[in-house]
Amino acid sequence: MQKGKILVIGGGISGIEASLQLSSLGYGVYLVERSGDLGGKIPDLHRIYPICSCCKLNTKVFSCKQDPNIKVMLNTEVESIEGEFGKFEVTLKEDGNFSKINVAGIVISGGFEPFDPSVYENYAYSHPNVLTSLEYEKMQKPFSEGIKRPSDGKVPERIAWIQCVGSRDINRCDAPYCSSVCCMYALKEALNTKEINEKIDTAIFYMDMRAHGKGFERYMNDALEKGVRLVRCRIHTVEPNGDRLILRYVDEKGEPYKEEFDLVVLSVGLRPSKETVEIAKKLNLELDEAGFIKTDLFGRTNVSGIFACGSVCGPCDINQAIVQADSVALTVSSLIEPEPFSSPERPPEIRDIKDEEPKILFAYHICPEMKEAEERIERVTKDLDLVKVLKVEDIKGEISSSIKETSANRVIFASCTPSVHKKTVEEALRSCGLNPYLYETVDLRLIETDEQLKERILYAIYRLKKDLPLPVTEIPVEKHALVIGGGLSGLEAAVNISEAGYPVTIVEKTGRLGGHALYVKETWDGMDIKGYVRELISKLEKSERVNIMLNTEVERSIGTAGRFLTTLVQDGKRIQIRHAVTVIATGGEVARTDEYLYGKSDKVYLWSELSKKLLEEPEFFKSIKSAVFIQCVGSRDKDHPYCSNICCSFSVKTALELKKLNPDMDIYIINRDIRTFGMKEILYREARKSGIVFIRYDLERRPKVEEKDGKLNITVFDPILQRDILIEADLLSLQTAIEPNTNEISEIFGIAVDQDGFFRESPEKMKPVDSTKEGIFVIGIANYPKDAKECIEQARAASSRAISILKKESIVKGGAVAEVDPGKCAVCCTCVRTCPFHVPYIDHSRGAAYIDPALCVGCGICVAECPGKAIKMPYLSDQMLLQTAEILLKE
Amino acid sequence: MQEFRPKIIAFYCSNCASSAADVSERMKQKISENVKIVPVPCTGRIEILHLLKPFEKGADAVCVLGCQEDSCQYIRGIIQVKKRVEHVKKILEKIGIEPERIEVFSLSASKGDFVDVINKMIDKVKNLGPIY
Repeated sequence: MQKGKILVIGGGISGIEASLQLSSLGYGVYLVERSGDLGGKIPDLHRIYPICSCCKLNTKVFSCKQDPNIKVMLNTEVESIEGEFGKFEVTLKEDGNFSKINVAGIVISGGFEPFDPSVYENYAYSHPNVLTSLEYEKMQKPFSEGIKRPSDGKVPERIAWIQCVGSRDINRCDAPYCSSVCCMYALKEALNTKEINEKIDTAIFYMDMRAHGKGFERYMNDALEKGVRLVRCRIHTVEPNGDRLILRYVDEKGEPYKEEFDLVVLSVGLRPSKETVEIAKKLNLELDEAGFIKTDLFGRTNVSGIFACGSVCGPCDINQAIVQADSVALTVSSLIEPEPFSSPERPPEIRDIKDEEPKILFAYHICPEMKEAEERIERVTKDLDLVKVLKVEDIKGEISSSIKETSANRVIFASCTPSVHKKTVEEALRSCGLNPYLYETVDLRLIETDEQLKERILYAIYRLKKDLPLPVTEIPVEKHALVIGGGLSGLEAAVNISEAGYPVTIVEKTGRLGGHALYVKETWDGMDIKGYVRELISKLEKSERVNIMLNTEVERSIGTAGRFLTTLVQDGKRIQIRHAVTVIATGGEVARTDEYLYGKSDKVYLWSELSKKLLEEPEFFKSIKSAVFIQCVGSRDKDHPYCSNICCSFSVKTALELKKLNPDMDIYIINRDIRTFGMKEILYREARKSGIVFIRYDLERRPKVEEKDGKLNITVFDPILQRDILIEADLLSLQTAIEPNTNEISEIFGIAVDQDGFFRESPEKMKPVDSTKEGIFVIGIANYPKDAKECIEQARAASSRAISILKKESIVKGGAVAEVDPGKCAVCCTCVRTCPFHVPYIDHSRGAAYIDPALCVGCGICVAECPGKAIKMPYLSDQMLLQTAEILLKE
Repeated sequence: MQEFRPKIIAFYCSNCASSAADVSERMKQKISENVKIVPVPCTGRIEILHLLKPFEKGADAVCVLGCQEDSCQYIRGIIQVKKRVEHVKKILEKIGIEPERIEVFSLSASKGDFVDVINKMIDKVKNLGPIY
């Protein structure tokens, strides 16, 4: 196997994530970014759907910069790449200076650039009040000027969004694909505008509203409720009229309309980054028809040793970019042996400091422009009880060397956003043999006077001298993984983790592996998915490290990352296994329905049944003269207020398949929106070209199905003709919602599900395969309906993250955790009921509640609720909180 | 007469409220010296007694700055503390203190309203006057 370091080109979210993941898998990484900072496009955004997680980006950027195994190289460009897989020689250019590095592999994550709308004269982009969506988003940021009309600074009364500018258009801009993210960002921008000023009229002009992802449909409905207008049409011209802009359009009925707006926002599509495509061309990388870098399922390009991930490979949202980055890191690790810049040292044993005098080191980290804060710190700390005051750049390195030099036993860390630095400070303390939680933070923000800062520091000193020791546990990592669910996602995860050298137990409820994928002929882009699944199964069956358990269910599980104890039941027999990570891939089922004669006529199929029949009896379809697909059956409605993501592409793909079997077949797809996002749009175009008829319907006017003389009579209102039309059909396929199999499993593992029943991701939002509990990963359909390619990517991302836990020898836990005093506990169960993470339980052997310090997240909710005051939290004790006022209000 | 500058204790959580503070900092806003901010991992940790004690020690008002109810990192922290603040309001009323002297706010980084809500609180307490 080749061995070496890795170069990551592009410091946006996918490059950041790839670097972090590669580093945690043991690589030394050069992260090269052309601009002056990491983060890519995200820092320009006002919010990320659905909640704000811009702040979570800071944590990742910061981790990159502090990681000894990531060399962040800003303002740096790739000049040339020579050599081959295993031994690339790369010349980099920074401020006119050249340097050379040697790497074994290269990950390209150059991201996207927004489409430049100036090629369209008809959108009047040269008018000051016509903006791109990115320009508008910057305006929404709280520290900008606010939402104003650029021409005269007036607050706009009416704003329009025009969708698909530079997407889904082959006439002017050569973009046959859908950019996949614009519908959601337009909704987000409109909704945020409403939240800032509800009087502003917001209208989105669109063709299909593609709210296909997790929680998107609810978000859309919320926007509608709050007054965002959705107008279905394709705007062809924006006519300037002084400061205002006129939009003319015809609705579906053919009625002409004219509206005037103060601002027009062009929802511009995504293009691969020009500079990155230049590099790709120099390397002879294959591009797809839209100009994005072409990769296989695992992120490999056509040139060996060169990988790509994120939006440079096709339009994708942030979640998906992160998943792809984690997946690519796994691919790299299967081909290249890691070579770090520096290997981690085993820290010394934690020393007991109970009898030592408190010696506090004060370290602070500030941005270069904060001269004033620095002077203030120097002034204020002069006469305080601190062993040393230290300005740090390399937080971990400088704090640990100063601790050693001064034999300090506690640390105060001051910075602008201390919460993003916590982990690094903890590592510094731990590397010196100290309890990693012996520190307090001081917030340097919003300070006007010296006295304010002094108070904050004194309060931190007071707290540091209180209640010791803080609980700390070191959990040795059980080198074993448990995968639940033997479908495509579960199989992929089990194969990856076992190939990385770790034993895996894979549990399947039914008597066979493979799941639904065995009944799918091929994916939308023609991949033989059942063949792929069979290959995975045979790999697992051959592997000595894999234990396959069929007809097995999970009964109970306790523990956290590094150490789980799970009870499985197979044929009535209980088996306990110990493992460090849990991958949950329990999948979902196609919902049944009683609508549209399902179960009453043999000509009506659920889509899963149609898929199976197409595989088993293709001949049957040759005699079919007319076939109808109805979309969103019992889906996107009150009972299932979400979009099942893959049904539109399924129908379009299957319709094309049927056309191939019988070119004379008449095919109708009755839909509410066609959500063939991303490259699947190309399939939709092909379907229309081949004569497949698409008819739209509304919830108020659903199609009607009757059976007469051996034929199905389907009546549907055609909004363009403005009248009912009757279709005689031999076959009807109903695309119902996909329901998750998450009920019992979420309770057994104590992980959260979202409003629609799918597993919830970590609250941090930037970890798309992490459940709400550390060490448990949720992937595949049970996480949200998605196509096979995305299932595989998620499984690989989860494997990648699981392996970085399995690699560790131990995991440190503790600090801000709650602890039950059994003497005071009255077993009232308040904590059991209150804990949002279901951690406390009644330990009958102690006759009291027990809170596992390894599982406790440290919110303190149970501490506050316990009526007997039996729960303590030494990190933030009652005494500390009660004396807060006394200390801070001292005159 | 010297201008009345209310003394306020403000507990804030290290997630949403802290992010909102970040935005305020970037807007170069400042908070008045008499407002003492106290970081807590989650506002769900703060008990009724912790909220009452500052009044005994001379605070003119207390406020709690937490997350939006749907974005709490600890799922229910902000909801719990809102209940407790409601209860404290009742206690204050019984002992003859205006219940408006304690408030809880849901902040968000996208609005960056950390300093805004504190200033609002200051204005309100200025109208009420000193507590004793």
